[in-house]
Amino acid sequence: MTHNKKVFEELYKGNRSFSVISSVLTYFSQRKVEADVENIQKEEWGSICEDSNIPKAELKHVLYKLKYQILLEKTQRQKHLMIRISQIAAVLILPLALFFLFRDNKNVSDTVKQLSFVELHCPEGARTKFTLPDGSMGWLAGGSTVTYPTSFEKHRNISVEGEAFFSVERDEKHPFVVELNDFKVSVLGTEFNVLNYKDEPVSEVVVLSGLVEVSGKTKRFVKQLEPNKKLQLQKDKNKIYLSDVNARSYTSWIEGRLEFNNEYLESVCRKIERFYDVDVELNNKGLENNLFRANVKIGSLEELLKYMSTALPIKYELVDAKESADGKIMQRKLIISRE
Amino acid sequence: MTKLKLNKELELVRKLRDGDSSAFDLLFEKYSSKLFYFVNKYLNVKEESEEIVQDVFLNLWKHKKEIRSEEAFKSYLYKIALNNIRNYFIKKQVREKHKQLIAQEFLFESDSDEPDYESVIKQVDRLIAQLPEKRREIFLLSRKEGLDTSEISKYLGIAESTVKNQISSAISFLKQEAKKSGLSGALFFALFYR
Repeated sequence: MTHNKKVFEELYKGNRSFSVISSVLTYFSQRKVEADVENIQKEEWGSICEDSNIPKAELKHVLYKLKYQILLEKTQRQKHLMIRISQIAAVLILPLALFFLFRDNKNVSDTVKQLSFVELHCPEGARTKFTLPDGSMGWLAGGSTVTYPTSFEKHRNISVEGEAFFSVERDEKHPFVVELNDFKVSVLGTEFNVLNYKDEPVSEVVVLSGLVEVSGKTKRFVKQLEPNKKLQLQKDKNKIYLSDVNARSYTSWIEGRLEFNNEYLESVCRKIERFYDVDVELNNKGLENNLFRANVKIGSLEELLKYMSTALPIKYELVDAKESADGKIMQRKLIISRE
Repeated sequence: MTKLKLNKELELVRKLRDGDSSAFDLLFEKYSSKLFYFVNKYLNVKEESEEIVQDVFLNLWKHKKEIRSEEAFKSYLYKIALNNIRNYFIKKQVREKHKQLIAQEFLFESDSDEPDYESVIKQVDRLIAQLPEKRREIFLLSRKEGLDTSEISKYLGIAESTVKNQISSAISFLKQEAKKSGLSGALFFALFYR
């Protein structure tokens, strides 16, 4: 019997003496394989497989982690597909729309022309870039929808539900107007970000470059905004606030980054919901008032959470998406509680 | 194993190949404890063994399409697990080789029962930590990095005689401590030096 075979036999018997473990370490790090050692290793596994008395290990948490990893891979693959589809859709719809517009111009009356709209929706956890008929560019954040007419001939009017960023081609004769629930944003040629979610307590407009005019719908006001200005409406108080900001940090999502500048955990969580496609639950009262600051790449939720749990007195739990008894898919859930 | 049972397992492996996650759950239920037991015989560290089990099953899911029989399934688990175990030990060896050598040099003198590996390594750590900082640095450069006296003297910019003195002080300290602690190696010589 060779030395190493004896060593492994001792190891399997549970001998963890200095000489046995040192020999095992040496054997593995030599990276050479001895046939009789291989045999005894295989035999050991074989006999464990046959043995019905192997103690049950508590490995539920390992299975949960696995399911999470598997699901993550799956959803990421699906999301890539979704983004691809919406990008393809945006590219396909435009020529088609232009084609009909061209026909409309020749044959059909103006009323019909006004009726043709394009609606683009971006699924949660994704971002979509699109081009408007006048060459202006737009970006849609997760869970947002943009609607615009196929013709920008007379007006450049579009409406946004959710969050969007626009880089508008200059056209002095035709103002570019974005309709939100609470505001109307009129520009000539600028770059700006709008936030207009129904479930958000605030609506806002942030200007990156150029001049933007915002007029209120629910509240009467007209304001001119310069770059790095933010106009925010607090819906419950029906009050508007003007502030100086670093506009880049509000538009970094179009480049795949998320920035939180001393933001309340409550609003951080809503962003996480939209950018990571997960339901967030704050378990303790008062947690929502924690301020959080970070600049991260939108990607791994776990990484962001790990960072959050070191920066804030919180702990978190991710519950996987699962199928309930009636076949409904329960969404992935993030539970945050006080540490 | 009965034929019926065998058929059932084959069925599970087939379902797994089609991406059936409940088949995955059942196979995990059936084999995870066995795999853990196998891995932990080597590692003897619960958390590390669990991590290997997790990695093996994740790999299994990624390569499920290549597995065609229950035998292939079992040997797949075995191969990935052993590969992980090997890597774990290689890393451990890189970290601890010099401690093994120090242990062999100083700690094995009497001959009662041989202590277990981890407690010997801890003992070495404890002793090295007791050396004064400069002496420790010089000693580790010689034992861990394998530098000789002249190399250490150039590297640290000190006289060769200082290096020699420091190393011999370290050695005599370790020898003296080894006598006190009475660590031993009866089995050690039988196995290690063949």
